[in-house]
Amino acid sequence: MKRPNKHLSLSQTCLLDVSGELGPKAREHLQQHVATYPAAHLEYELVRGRFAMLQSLPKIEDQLDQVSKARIAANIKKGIHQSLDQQRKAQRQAKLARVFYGFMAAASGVAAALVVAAGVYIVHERQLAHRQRIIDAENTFQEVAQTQLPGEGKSRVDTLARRISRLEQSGGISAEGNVGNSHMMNLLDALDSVHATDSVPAPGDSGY
Amino acid sequence: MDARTLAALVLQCRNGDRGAWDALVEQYWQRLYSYAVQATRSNELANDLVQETFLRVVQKLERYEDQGKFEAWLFRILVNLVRDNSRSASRHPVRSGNVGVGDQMVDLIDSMPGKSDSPEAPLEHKEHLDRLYTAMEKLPELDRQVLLLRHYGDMPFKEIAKTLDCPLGTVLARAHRALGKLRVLMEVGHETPQ
Repeated sequence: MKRPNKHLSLSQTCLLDVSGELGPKAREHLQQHVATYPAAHLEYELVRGRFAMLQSLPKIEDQLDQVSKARIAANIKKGIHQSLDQQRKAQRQAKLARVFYGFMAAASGVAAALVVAAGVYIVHERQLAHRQRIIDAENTFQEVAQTQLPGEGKSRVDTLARRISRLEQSGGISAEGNVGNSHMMNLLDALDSVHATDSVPAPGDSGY
Repeated sequence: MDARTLAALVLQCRNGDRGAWDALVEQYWQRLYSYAVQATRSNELANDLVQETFLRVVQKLERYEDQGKFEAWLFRILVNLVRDNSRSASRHPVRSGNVGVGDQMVDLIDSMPGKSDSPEAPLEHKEHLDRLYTAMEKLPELDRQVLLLRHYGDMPFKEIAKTLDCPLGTVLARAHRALGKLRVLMEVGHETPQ
């Protein structure tokens, strides 16, 4: 005869049966097996007796009155409700924190961008101003070089000296490799030539 | 409760439905409590552990993947809590609120109705249960756990196998062995006083 369950032993199958967990087909097979073999019948009765012994133990819930049952269940439910409330609160706080940190990150980004833009603007403006001063000095030099009048030349030289002085104050001379440096050297050479022109009288000119 | 209804209930719980949580508690607390009382031998501790079990379910339900094993999962949480508590208790033997096995069981037996009209019958039945409880205490932990889950947790052996994460054959073998030992211990206990 085919065994009720090829993966389980007879005692295990008997235990499943007395526990009420064996399917109808397997149960039928087991009953046939037990009815056919006296040893199997003996084993079945042994397992049933032992399982009945276990079943004779009283269950706790049967001993509790309705008040105690209601109290225990209410305690458990209360704990769950509190836990659910805490969970919701924590979720709300986490959401708020995410929004806050997102806002802060965006604000920090905007602030950093503004600082960088302002810095770039200031540097750019300084460079423009510096170039403008150089251009002005060069223009003055051109005008001085073209003039023939000593008095006019002197006033232009004075103007030129003031501009050079302003350039020195702005650091245009001291910076090596600066664009303004070569211009400055030109200006100084030009200034020397202006002084030379003013001090040496032209042929036919008495100087007075 | 069939699997589909349970799955729907679990889904409602996951969505934070308090009514669904109450229904889930009503469905399972008595079986969990019954197992916990027998495993810890303390009403108070059992109460705490069952409550803690449900709180863990609240915390972990978000990550739970429903594969028809909710009951096994629920009992596994409790079994682990009982085991952890038992280890902790063995490190700290003096523990307030614990009820000795004798006190607990005598209270239980006293409250049971007699099964016979004979005046000696309730006493005999009480003695029988007393021996049975004592014998249960002497079983190896794993074997005892299977019997407690089957009887007090009212779990089928197949669910116990899922709970303890071992094959059905192993669970049945443990149960069969435990029942055999229980019978032997009962006989020894019955003969000892004479």
